[in-house]
Amino acid sequence: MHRRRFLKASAILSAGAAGAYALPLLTAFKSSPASARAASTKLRWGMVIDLGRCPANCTACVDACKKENNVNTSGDRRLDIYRIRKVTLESTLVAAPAQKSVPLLCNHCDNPPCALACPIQATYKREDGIVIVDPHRCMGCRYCMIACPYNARQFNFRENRHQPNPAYPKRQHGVAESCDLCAHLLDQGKRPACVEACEQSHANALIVGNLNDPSSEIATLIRNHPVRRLREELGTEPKVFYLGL
Amino acid sequence: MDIEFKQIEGRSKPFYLLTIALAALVLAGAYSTWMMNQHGLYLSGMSNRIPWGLPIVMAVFYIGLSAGSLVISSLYGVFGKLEYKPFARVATFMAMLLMIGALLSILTDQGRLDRVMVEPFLHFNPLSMLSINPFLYSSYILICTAYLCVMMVENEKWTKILALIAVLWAILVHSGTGAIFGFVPRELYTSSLLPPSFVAAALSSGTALMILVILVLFRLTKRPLAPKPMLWIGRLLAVFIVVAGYFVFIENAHRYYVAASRAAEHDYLFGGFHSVVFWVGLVFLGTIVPAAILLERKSGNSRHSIRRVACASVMVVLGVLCERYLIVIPGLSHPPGLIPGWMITQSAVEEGIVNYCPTSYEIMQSLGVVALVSLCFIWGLKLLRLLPTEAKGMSHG
Amino acid sequence: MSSPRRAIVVSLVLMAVPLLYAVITFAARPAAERPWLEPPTANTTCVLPKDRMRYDHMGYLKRLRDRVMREGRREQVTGNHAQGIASCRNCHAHRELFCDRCHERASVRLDCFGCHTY
Repeated sequence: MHRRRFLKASAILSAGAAGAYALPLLTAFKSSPASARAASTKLRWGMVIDLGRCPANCTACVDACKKENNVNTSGDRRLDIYRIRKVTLESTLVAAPAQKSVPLLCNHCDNPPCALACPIQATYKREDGIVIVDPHRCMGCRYCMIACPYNARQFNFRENRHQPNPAYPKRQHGVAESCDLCAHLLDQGKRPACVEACEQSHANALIVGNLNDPSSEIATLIRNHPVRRLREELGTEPKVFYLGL
Repeated sequence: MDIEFKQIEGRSKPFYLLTIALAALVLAGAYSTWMMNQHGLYLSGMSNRIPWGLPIVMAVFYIGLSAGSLVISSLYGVFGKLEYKPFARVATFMAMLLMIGALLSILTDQGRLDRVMVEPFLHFNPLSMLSINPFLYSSYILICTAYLCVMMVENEKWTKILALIAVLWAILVHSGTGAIFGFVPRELYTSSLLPPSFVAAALSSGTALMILVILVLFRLTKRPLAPKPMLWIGRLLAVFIVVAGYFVFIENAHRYYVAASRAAEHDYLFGGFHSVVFWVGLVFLGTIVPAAILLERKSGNSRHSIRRVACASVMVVLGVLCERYLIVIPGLSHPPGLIPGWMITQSAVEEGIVNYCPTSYEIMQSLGVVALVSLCFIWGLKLLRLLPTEAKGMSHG
Repeated sequence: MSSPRRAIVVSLVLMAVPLLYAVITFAARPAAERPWLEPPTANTTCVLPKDRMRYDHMGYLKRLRDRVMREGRREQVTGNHAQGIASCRNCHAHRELFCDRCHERASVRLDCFGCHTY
């Protein structure tokens, strides 16, 4: 009697769960990209950061990013948004104060935990490898920020009316934000603001290119030099490579 | 056994005063939610490093309480113990309301309320834990409602089936909630033990809450309550506490033993506010003391024992609240080890260990949800036949 | 009539009063006139025919936005339309005299301009 009841209950349970889950599944993959697109699978954006060329006191990339993407910072260390930021590292292993200055940004992983976590696919990986937040869709649950092992995502706790770049939108409060490798510039054939600024300040430490193109500058660098990525053991396959870390 | 279920009178002055007080709290919570949604979440204590705070802690707390409340009604529905039939309806009603409170807590915490109502239905990501879980939570509410309905119409066959479905679904709900945190690659989050640990803590906190609710309700409405079923549940609660404590122990021992997470775990166990909450709130007052009280085989009079069970239950509920806090916040306040061997000394944003302190807006919002659940509960008792006129118990189980 | 039955009848009557009021005032409403919209400045055609734009502009904008943002296909936002929704300004100069006129009458909140500058 007990077993029959259990079997009956489990049958109803599984049928109900499958049936109920089938309904949202019908809408689930609608937003996945369909066939022909400009962001093709042949293109795979990556970035190399040459720390040997990155000067300690230079924040050209940070300032350019803020200007291009209309990000306003007010000195609030808790709530300020920095799509790219410069940190100073000090060694914990050797006694002498060995310092390094490192830009940190979204790593545009090939297995992005944030895109896996986003319940509405507002954060997703484009076919060309850029991990991007769709600010039209994001509902501000902040699970992507929880899931990112690099703390590379921020949230608009406040409204942002700052707009030094009129060609790019401002920000309302309540959506998540992260570096999108200036996808709006890359799509037009230009380079991200940070890369452009780094070149203009004659440091040339940031290089963005197509990882799938064997003749690109970035592919050559990665092939011929020992590069390292952040937290590689996590299996997220980040696409920002550090030279000299 | 023929039990008569009757509504509470609900016409006394304290009842109306309580209603007014709770309604005021609900309004205050609604106001602070509206303010945070209108002006931005900077009004809360959260930051880019700690994006989830008190509302999510309360949400996972309610989820735990909800499934645990079902334990008492499942003792009747699944295992057929007739001396718990008097409590089955109240327990299921409580489970339903607590889950609604949990969903409300999560909902009011979102950045864009206008999109939360629309986007998850249009663009569903079936792999995200935050999609799977609200699906489980809402279906759990429906199952609990159906279960309550079949109990009210006294349909024995469907009561048994739905009770089993509800219990199995509750386990699924909790494993899912644990997976929200356990399946995320942060040092103090990632763990395969979090789902079962969640289930264990849910069972203990929910049972404890139901014990308290039953004792208080029967005392306030002056309905007779036999002590023996309560004492037996008290011993069951002791088992749940021990199992939950076992999971906590294994998880922390593993994190400390393994070199990769040892630094983070050391900060968690011995450095700062979390440690006090852990050792005093969770381990001592939440696990060891109540387990000792409940497992003590003292043959005193049962009134004294009931008081001990009630005391232990209060401690367990508060201890599990501490545990929910410890699951959510320390994992976020500890920094990820981005570059091993190097420490970040200068940055434009917060690095290293950060602290979180809820603001009055968050506290008011959470109190508002508590008040709403309580308000619906006491008015449900008045409008529906949920409480038995007496629970004398049976001499044989 | 018994007391509960009386209570039900009274409540139904009380509920019917505002309902009747709504139905009667709706039936007697004046004919709807289209609000005056600022005419376009340039003498060119819009991206879609006028009638289609009237009923489908939101759908069109949504599909365009997903195509540009989510898929990275920018072939439609070239030249005169390089700025997406802000490009509408090239012909429809003032949103207060164009977009807002119908949207305020229909009470449909515009979410776009919280971020996008018109």
